[in-house]
Amino acid sequence: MLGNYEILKKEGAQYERRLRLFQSWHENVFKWHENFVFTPNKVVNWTEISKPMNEWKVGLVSSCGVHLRSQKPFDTDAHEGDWSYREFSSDINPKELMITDSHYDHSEADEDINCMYPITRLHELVNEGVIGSLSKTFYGFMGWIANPKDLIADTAPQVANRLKEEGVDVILLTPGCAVCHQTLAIIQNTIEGVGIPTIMTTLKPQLTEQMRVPRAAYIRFPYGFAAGPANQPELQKQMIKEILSLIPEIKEPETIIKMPYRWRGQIG
Amino acid sequence: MDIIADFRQDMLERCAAEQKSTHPREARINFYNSQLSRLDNLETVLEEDVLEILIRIRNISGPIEYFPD
Repeated sequence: MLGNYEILKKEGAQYERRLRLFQSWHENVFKWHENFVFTPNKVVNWTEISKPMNEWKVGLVSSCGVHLRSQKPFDTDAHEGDWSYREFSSDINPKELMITDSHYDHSEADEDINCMYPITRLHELVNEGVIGSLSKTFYGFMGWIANPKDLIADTAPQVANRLKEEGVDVILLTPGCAVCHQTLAIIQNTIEGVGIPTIMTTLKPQLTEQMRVPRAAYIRFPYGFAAGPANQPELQKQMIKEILSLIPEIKEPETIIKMPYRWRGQIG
Repeated sequence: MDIIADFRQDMLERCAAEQKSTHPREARINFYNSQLSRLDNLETVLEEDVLEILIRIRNISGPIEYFPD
């Protein structure tokens, strides 16, 4: 346990259950995407935060396929995926954002982008003095990347270095679909590697733990709700605040915290 | 989950009423507490297994939103 939060242990019946789920997914993913390359992080990077939370400059990165409506959409049909990224000001009107990704249902995020990309909630946390400020630039990837070799060699380090140059203290990351979890874990570990503490939300802990990431918060929601339920701003804000506050509390890499939130929306 | 919450509230109220009565019957209190324990177990099963399967079903059917006509 970490305070009142449960840490997912890498042993016991629940771990074995998650491992079976991962193995089942890993066997089946090739039926849908024959060129998929499972690429776990070989070394897990680790950076500790020394500043208090109310002084943090926080950045936001997602693999949910978010971009400005005026920007070129991601290529969802690319054989090996689209490892490019989109950057935009953290001060933009959230209505200017949209999602291009055909691998999960983001219809509710199309109405309330904050359930995937909590830009408004982060501004509110700044206004309330919970965190210090936001990075000038936020980033979006489209996480369906079958073979992440160019992500690892090119675009993930580019974004990590830009965040470092901007002096960002902490990065929050949110995933889209299953393969997006792999993409995000690679981006997260790359950012952590340049010396910025990170935390990702995960909807698929069995994959995230095999990918090996510095820190993750498991929320028991379906794809499309990586930052909370749609149109529930207070709950979204509470979740984001709690998830960020875990960063200094987690003392070891590869820690996944099970958040005390349960999906109550529609299933179909 | 809401039905379980209603059951739990009912058991808690019955247990509290029994404890406040002039002559609390221990067997009834034990029964209410054992029912609460069963409700906890049922909630765990629903949370960990049923909810997870329902979420997986939703996740798998999600991309159909974007299939070409």
